[in-house]
Amino acid sequence: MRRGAVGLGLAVFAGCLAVAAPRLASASDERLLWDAPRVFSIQPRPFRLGHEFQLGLGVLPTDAFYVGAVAAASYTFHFTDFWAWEIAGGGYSLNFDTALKSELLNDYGVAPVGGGGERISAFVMSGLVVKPLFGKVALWNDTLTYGETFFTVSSGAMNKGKFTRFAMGLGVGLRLWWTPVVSWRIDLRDLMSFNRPLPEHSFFLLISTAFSVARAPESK
Amino acid sequence: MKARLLVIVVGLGLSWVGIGVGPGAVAAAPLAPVAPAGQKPAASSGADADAGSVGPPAAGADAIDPAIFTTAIEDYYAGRYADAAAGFWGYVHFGDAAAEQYEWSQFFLAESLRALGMYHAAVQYYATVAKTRQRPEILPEALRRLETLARERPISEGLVYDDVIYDSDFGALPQELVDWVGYVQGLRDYQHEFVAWGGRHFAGIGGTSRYRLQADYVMAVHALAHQRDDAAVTMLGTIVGSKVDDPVTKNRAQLALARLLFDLERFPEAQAAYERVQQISLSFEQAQLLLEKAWTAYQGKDFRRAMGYLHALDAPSYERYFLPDAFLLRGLIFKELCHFIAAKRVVRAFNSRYGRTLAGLHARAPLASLERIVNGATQEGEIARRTAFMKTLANERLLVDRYDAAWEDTGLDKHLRRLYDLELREQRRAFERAFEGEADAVAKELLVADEQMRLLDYEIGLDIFKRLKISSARQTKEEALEVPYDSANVYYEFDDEYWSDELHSYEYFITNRCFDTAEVAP
Repeated sequence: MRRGAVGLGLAVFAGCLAVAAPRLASASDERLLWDAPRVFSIQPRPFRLGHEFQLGLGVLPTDAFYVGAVAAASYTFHFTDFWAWEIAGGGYSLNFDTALKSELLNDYGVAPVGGGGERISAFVMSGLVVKPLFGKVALWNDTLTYGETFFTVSSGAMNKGKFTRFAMGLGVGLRLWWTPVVSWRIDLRDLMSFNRPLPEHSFFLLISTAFSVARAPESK
Repeated sequence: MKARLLVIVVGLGLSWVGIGVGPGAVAAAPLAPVAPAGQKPAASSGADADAGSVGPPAAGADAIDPAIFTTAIEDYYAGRYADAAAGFWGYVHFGDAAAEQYEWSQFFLAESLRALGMYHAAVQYYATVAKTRQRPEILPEALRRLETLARERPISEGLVYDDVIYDSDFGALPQELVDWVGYVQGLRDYQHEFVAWGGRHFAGIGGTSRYRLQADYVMAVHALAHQRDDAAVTMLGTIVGSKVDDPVTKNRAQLALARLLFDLERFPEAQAAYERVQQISLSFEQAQLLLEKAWTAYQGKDFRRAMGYLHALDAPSYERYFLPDAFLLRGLIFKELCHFIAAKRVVRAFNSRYGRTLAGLHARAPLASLERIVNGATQEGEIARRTAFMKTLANERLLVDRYDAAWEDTGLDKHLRRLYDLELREQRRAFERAFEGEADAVAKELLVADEQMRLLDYEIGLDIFKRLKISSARQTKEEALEVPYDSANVYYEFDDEYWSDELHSYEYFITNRCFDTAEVAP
């Protein structure tokens, strides 16, 4: 059994080598024989962020017993075109019951313990933003639109039920610029609250408008 | 290169009449009815009726029914332009030149033809109205239409500028038309070296008119052509910095300024001036601009940028253009950086691109039979404008077939075909006259480029086998070729797809492979 696994591993390795070697060799040959240099189009970033103020509406959709409608706002300072600090960001959630609680009561004659668990009512966070992806896309084959994708890591406090707990957030977002000052954002975040060693996850989807005091594009 | 640039600048300036000629919609016909005046006009010649003696003479002099005009006007304002054109043509052709609505019929015939897309025929009738000037009230409108068409489309410059405008005195006109007429008359004066007269004509142009800038441009080019380089630089700089809203002329002046600074060997200033030139269309002018920017970067030893511009010239849209210099410059840069295999490949690519044409030249084949020579001879200047105009004429002539049914009774279709055939013959004759000289120049340019490439090939061979003392040779210290992850610039790596907005921003990340033969410190 063990020998068979080793043999299988060797076979897979050999296979990978066989597939990769010609590609490696051809890439090397190309560099040597054709002397192909790398070619870049180097363009000043048309949109650069400085102080960013974000206002948006979001939703907390994943809890079975309620859906949260969230009004959110934040302020972010962009150190560079890659690093930024979301100095303060937070949201207030207006929660609405789903049909689950009444269905349980009507169909099975049971009620959830504690009303279905604690509900997020507000949160405040601060965190790091990295923006590795910047690009341009053709919108309706007519207009060139610029956008970026960013990732966030943040921590803060979350008011959940009667308690305020330590919370962390991991997020990914997409920004499309409308003007140098105004851009549109879609954020998806995993809000984690810690009242036990393992966190409770709540996904948070936010659509927002960002207003930025822009930095001027720099020439090359 | 320098002589070529100077010729381009001078040629562009002194032959530049059709400013802004290019595709564009012409304004729609006026919706408000234009009331024909009821005065009895003086008789005009029968030739005017047929717009330049094209078509049979007028017949049935006094019998023309005024209802024909009324019906045609109704058709015109109802958008039935083909029927309207037939009516107006009938009134003009079968009526007497002294008929009451004769000039109005000519004007509305032009309007109808313009609405149908037959711009040359429309120009013929606007020009007739402007030339005869029997109805002073129509004159400004006819001139205004001519000005718009001249600005937006290729037109018969001889007909409009020479026959109608150059030696005419139109009397009182609105200022915008005074500007245009003054500009055209002044331009022709400058072209004939009647500088004092040209100056007087230019002096009448308003300070905020686009033709003010165009007149200044003509004067700057004239100064350049007479070796007053410093004056030309100043004048072009003034045009570029002007507050008058005419981006086309400013851009042209910016380009002329960049070329002049290059010829004066002020390369950093030339580079900056070239960067300010706006080009958005994938035209020969843009290809030429890229090549000139490449030469400027090369003179400034910025090989990466130079190669980037040359890389943009490989875009499929530029393939048909005749730019043998691009191969020479690319080969030179590869040789300078000791990329000998790549340099050799450039020589082979040149032979592949132009080998057949060169063989044809060596075999003394007719120049008109060599495609690349024909492309090169017709890609810029007056002959390019004439070529574009001939294509327009051919396309407009085809439009006549659409209205055979509506025009057969009055013979307007035959008349328009004759009109277009006549102009096509005239343009073709002028084209052939100009082509001979242009083709000769292009053939010589290609032969010179071929000679340069052979010399380059030889020098590459010498460099490959250049002997070095191993003790004194060392690899040139390479400047960093790094792509920063965090930068105010975005680096889009080229992946075999050309984006038009990137054409002016390519850079080659290429290493210098040469050995530095300076003495090594002990």
